[in-house]
Amino acid sequence: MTRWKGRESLESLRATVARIERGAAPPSGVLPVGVAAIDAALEEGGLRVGALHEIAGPAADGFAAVLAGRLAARGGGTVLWCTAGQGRGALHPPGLAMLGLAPARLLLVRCRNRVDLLAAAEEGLRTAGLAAVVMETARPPDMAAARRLQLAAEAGGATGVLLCPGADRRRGANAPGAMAPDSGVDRHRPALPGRPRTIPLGGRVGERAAAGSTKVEHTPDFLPPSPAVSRWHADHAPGGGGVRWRLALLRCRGGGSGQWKVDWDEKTHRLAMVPTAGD
Amino acid sequence: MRKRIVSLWFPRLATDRILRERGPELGERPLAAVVESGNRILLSGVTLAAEQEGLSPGMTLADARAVAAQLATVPADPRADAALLSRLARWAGRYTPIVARDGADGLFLDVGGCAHLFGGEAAMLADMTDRLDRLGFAVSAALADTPGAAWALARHGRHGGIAPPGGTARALEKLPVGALRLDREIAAGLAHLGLRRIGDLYGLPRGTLAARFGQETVLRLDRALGHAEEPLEAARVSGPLRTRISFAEPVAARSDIDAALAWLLDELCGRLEGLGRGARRLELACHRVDGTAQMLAIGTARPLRDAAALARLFRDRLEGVDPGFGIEAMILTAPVSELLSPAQETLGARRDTQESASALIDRLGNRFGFGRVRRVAMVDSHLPDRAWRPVSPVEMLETVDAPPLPAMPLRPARLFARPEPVAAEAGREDGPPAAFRWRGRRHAVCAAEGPERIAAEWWRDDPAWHDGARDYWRVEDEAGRRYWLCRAGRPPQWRLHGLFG
Repeated sequence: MTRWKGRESLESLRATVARIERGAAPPSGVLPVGVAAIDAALEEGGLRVGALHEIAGPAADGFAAVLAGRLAARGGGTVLWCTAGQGRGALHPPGLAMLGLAPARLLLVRCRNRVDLLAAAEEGLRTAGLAAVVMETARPPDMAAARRLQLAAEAGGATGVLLCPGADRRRGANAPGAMAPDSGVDRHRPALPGRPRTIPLGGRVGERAAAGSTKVEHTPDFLPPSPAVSRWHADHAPGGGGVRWRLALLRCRGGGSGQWKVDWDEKTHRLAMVPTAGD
Repeated sequence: MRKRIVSLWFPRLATDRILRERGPELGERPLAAVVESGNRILLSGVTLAAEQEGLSPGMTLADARAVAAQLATVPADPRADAALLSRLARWAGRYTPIVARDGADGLFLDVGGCAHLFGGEAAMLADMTDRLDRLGFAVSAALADTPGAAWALARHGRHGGIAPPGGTARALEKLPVGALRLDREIAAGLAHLGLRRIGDLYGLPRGTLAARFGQETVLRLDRALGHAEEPLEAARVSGPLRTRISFAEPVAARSDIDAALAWLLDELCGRLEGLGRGARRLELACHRVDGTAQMLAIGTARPLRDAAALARLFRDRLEGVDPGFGIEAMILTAPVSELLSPAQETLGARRDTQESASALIDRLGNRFGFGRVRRVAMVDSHLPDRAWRPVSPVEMLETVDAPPLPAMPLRPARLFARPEPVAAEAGREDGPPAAFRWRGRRHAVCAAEGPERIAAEWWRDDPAWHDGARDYWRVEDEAGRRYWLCRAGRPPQWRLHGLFG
């Protein structure tokens, strides 16, 4: 019986376990978000490529377009955008172009239902050479389905972005006392059966969120489990005149979390931190 | 290789076709295929029974009726006859790869080097006529060194026959000059001079013959005797792209079906490669022991002949196959194929991403329908609802080198198909509203940018733009969400057209 001693042994053991868990996953790269503070919070210095990421909140599709655009520009390749239903209005590629996602890279799939959407997304994630797969779902897939997607992303090398614009993952967002101003966008979404949480009404949580603090407002037990490597909440932020988001990194494999206010520059196609002084 | 040419002549092709289609008992009575020519009806083909009554092609129907009152007639169909001749040419591929069509009712086969496979020339010729006879065709076959000589022997020789190698001149000398494939007038002219047989022409000075009856006559003679080359235009025989596998025992297990499909795809892809083509559509028929067949079809976004990729496209469809008591045969057909240059198979790394995208399109399209998979084509229009259109990914595979987009005014990431009316609270005159109510919620306008005036395209009649030009504002509510509001019509109405990301 070998006695494992020291840090190196532990590291190598971890690596072995990871390999056993996921087969020999090819070493895949990392996509820097482009904001130093955010990249510093992510353990690997950016979002892992060839993995599943989850973005919730009202500005989820905008942030997803930015990430997909960066992925496509980085390695070349197509972005598969899977939709089912058009309650929030149809995607408008010229608008996505403003967010850095070139329309020529887009491949749109209009799915009949959620099952088709997950199947299409899995096909896309398994396709080597695809830049990203964006999935628009009203509610996040269950653990088994999400795990499938994560494995598909690891096998194929495409990056999966799971959009749940309706889900508010922040603490207290669904507490009875939290009188969040409704986004209006999600208000008409019917409550889904078999789910104890009401369908969240996206939007700000009082004034706490607006304080611009980098303190994270969630506790891990509140987040429903998901195999996504990183989980975000993206909301709009007032002021600035342009595209301004409040991004919250809720959870990230390997630790790291935080909340930032960023501006999107439509001309240079860059994210930048909003200066704290101007907050 | 010394050329040896078989000429097959089907003197009753048109009526043989009709008898094959409608049953041979029809041939017991005289039957003729008829064709309208001007205001007369002519016989174009007659059956053996009609021939025995004294009828022949070219007679008018009225004359024929006078000879044989009980003559039955069927309209001639030269196109069907030609199709039948093509099928016969394919059939003749069992003897030699070089088969040429000869007019409307004959075939040439170059059997040089093939005859010994069938037990010699006489045996091969007998085999041919036997088989064609059993298939219901009247045929006259002859074998000679040249197509001209074989043609002459088949049509004018006594029961066809074989001219031994080098014996062409001897075999032809007794035949009438018409057997040289000469114009009727020239043949008549020769006969008028007493030159009735081909042998009569052998000793004549060629110069005078050419001067008197034209170069063509000399050429035909030279070709028949082998002094001049007559190349055969071998029809490229490419049967339908089809492979078939039959099982000794019916199979039902999915793994067996998969293995059989893999074998079929390998075969078919090999043939496609030989032709330099790729399949755009494949059909698989699974024939069950109870006599029914199950059909599956897949399509591809671009020509494809990669067996593994095609197998993946079939994978989902095969789930729907119910083998019942077992499948006894599977037939794979490629009804639609396109040219696919071999160069496309050597891929650079850059090409790879495109290739993978089109493979993905194939899989998605076959699973969910090609109509649901779309690429985006930008349209040069300033109307937001016409700024792009979805196009089939089949039309637009190249994506890598898209030109950079021209600078555009800001557009929302999501657009409603038709702008949704909002209840606006009046703000400044000609300015954005102070607040608006959309989908039951009030949004106070904290910031606004605009207006951007977008006018309808007057050269198009677009009902959505009948209320004239619109003034668009980008407004931000108290939560920082950005909306695309527009005002149009008289009195002005506010509507919400899109949401910014």
